[in-house]
Amino acid sequence: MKRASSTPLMKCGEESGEKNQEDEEDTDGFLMARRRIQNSIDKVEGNDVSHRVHCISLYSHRRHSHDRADQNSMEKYGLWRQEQKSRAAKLEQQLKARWTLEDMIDEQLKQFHNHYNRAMVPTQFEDVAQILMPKGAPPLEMASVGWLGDWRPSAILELLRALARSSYLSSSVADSVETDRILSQLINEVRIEETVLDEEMAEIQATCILHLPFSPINRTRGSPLAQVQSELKKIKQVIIKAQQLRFKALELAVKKVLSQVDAAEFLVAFAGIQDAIHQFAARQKFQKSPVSVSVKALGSV
Amino acid sequence: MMKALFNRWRTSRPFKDFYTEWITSLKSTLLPLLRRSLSSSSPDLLILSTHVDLLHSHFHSYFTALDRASNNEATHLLFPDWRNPLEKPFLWLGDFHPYIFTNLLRSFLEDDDSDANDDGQAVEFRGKVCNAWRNVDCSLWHNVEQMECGLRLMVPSIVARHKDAQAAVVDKLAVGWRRERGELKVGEVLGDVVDELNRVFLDANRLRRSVLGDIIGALNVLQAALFLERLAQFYVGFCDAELLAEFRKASVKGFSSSHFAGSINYPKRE
Repeated sequence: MKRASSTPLMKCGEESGEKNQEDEEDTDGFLMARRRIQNSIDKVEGNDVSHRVHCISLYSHRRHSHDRADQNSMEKYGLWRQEQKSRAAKLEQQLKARWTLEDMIDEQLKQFHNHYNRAMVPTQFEDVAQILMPKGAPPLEMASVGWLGDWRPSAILELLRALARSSYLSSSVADSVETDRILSQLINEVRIEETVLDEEMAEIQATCILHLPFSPINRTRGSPLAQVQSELKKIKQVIIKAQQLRFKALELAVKKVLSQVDAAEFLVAFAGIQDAIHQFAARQKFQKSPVSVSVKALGSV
Repeated sequence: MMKALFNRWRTSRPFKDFYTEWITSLKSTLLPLLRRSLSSSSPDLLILSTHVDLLHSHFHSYFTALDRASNNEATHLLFPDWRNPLEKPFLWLGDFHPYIFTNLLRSFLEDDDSDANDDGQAVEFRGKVCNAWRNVDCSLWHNVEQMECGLRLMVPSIVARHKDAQAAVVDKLAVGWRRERGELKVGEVLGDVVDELNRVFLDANRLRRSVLGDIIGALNVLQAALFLERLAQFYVGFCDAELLAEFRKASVKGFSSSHFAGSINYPKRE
């Protein structure tokens, strides 16, 4: 098992490389990737079983041939070669399945990267509001797991730790103790990064009364619109850092902490849970009437 | 006919409508009223004091309305869809950050520069500002520091409670997922959390209301009038139709320096 690197979280996010297709991660894409990973896990497990069965039959076959001592040695050798070939073929198949699993995990991570670091970065000024309070995500979902526009990075890791603790992942007990330790450390680090960004955001929100155009305090500096835009630029920077932290948390967990099968299982669970909470919150939003306030209690306003 | 009757007897209305009316009456009635009495050549302190009370109770009624509306609806108040795209980025747990009150007050206290403007009305206005905030009692400074100290304790604790509530959600989701998979009972998991989110929202709201109350309580009438005038201007300013239209038009052009995050490539194991 690989350990989490001790490199600061925010600094290892600057990857560059070939231009990737701009697949937006939508629900269908998510479900498809999830299904593919699940299939791949099943395939690995299935092969394992058939492999074992094959070994047992070979063993009994060999015992028989030992009884008949004067059996043609050429025939024996031929059989052995055949066994070897079939063994190698199985092994190769198994290897291929493992590569496919790794490819799929990487693909899923790339989708997250595209979503967090490309699609969900404001390009227009109005995007800032849309990302922080997305129309597509129901308030209940955002309030229960959201932070600056999407899942809270530490919550993603806490979800993973809770899954590992409830022995959802297939790693051994000794491994899961180690995983738990590393995850807890990672969660602490990510929480600190979140607090730093919370403070940056709070600073902007707390001082906007001094900078925004309609406060007469600062009327001498620039046009009202320019001042609004300059505040939104600051918020955009916070959003970018938040998205990077989100991806970093996910990437560290998947690539550095978990084994391949654990990582795949986690990604399947994460997608499923994201979907479940979204569907539930959307239903709630649809069923409930808009927020209202009692007129009587307030008197005339 | 029936609709009119129904409207007459109904006891609640959408918060969105309430907010629109609240802003309108702030903008077209209360703020102009206060400005008129502030800009008169000999301000009548009694009238000014009435207008200050009116404006303060207007804000108070808004925070009370938020409290009442939060009855099991806090998540909608945390992400209010009735606020415009100009306001939304500046909201902290449902409304403006409580620090805006103390920061605004500090800006008055620390602003000793009296030669900024030279148009007639502004000079008169400025003169009053200088008189109102000149030689303020040191107890006021002490009060501000105490309020800020309280905020420094309360704000992080509210944020931490929100964070903890979310951590509790994911813990339960994970356990539920392991047990039920596709049949995950999200409603049961979120039940307790919604209560805690309500409390978080209420405390954030209470903090705003109490800081505003403390500030008004610590100021004299003229100071309170100037403070509330700017606060009202701040709330109203976000809803300026002209600025909003200008903002929407300019928004399409986008941020000048666009961010580019390169795609990633994981090295293949050999």
